[in-house]
Amino acid sequence: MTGGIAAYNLHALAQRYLVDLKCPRTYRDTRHHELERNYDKDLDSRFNYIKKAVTDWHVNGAILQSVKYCDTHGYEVPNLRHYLDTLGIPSIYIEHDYSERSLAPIKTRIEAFLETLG
Amino acid sequence: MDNQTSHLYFAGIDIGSTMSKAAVVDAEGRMLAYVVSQTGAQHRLRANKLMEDTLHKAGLPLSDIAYIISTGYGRVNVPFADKQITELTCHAKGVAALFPDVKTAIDIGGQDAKVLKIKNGRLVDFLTNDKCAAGTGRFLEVAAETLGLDLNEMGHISLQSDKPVKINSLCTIFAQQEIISRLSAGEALPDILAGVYIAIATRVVKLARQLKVEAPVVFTGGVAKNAGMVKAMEAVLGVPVLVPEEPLITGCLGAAILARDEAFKLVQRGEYEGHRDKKLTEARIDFGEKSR
Repeated sequence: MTGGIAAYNLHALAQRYLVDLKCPRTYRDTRHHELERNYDKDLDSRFNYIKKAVTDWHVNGAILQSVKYCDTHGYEVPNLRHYLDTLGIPSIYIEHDYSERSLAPIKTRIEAFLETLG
Repeated sequence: MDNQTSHLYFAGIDIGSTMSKAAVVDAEGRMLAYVVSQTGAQHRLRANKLMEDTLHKAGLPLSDIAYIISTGYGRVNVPFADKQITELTCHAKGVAALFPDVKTAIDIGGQDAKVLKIKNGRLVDFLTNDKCAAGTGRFLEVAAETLGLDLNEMGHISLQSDKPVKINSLCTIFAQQEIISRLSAGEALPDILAGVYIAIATRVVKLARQLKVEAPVVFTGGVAKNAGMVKAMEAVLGVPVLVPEEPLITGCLGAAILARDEAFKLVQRGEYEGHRDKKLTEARIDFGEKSR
């Protein structure tokens, strides 16, 4: 398999799954920071798509959610909340398990969060 | 405040998982009366009865109440409320009304625990433990039942301890087993009880630390009525905690004060619709039909 449509498709698939999908386990390019490791710049390279959404949609607050036991998402939350803080966007983090068992408390927390936004 | 609003009264009603509370405030936000009762299984019936009792105590007819806000776990089951607001916002408001400088509030109720960060009297951040009854009022009730003690008695006995036993389980059921095994191992009752309170305090303080605890800290909810729990909370937090005279009513007080704010906004915008006694009557008829 050398070049041609197959290689093109393979590249497209790789691009889609490893770069385009916004998921904590996907690849992120940090080459441009090689000489200068910087936490804030690193956060920016990972989350600037969120900054764009925040400005484009005039966002007042962010609700972060992840499925319970998805550790990669869990690890990302403090970083993401820090990033949102620097943008001045209040956030709330909800962990759920797809069940409807704890729907009422989750609803209360989201409502309370919206109330804090005024 | 002008003549249009000075004669108005406002009510807040908090239907909690275990206890229901209601309060009435005047146009200046001063509390005129409150009532606390068991929630039971019939939320709507409880809400009506509670409102009636509170109005009776305040010596006011329902027609004098300009606006009612319901809050708490059962807030949707208050048919005569004008608006629902979550217990987190209401607690913050109520606590700030009693302690204007408050920065952190810890509330432990019958079924959940919450930590509120308050700035200038407003809720700015919060965390809740609502996954299970561990470290809540229910946990203490189970412990009291296991030991055949009254909740208050349990608090006072624990105060005699100077070397609390370490209770490792926080799961209500496992902790119950642990208490029994400690008793059979010959540990003194006050030390075991003090250990139970410290275990609960540790769990809630862990939640609080995620939001950074800043003094003054106010401790509310039914569990704050327990002397042993207050002592343990101070020991684990390392700062004194303030407890309101009646720690159960901060939610309904906050709801009543928010009802006042809300009604004033309506008056200001010229949208206030006046008397509201018809609504309660309709709600009661509605409830009556459903229950039959």
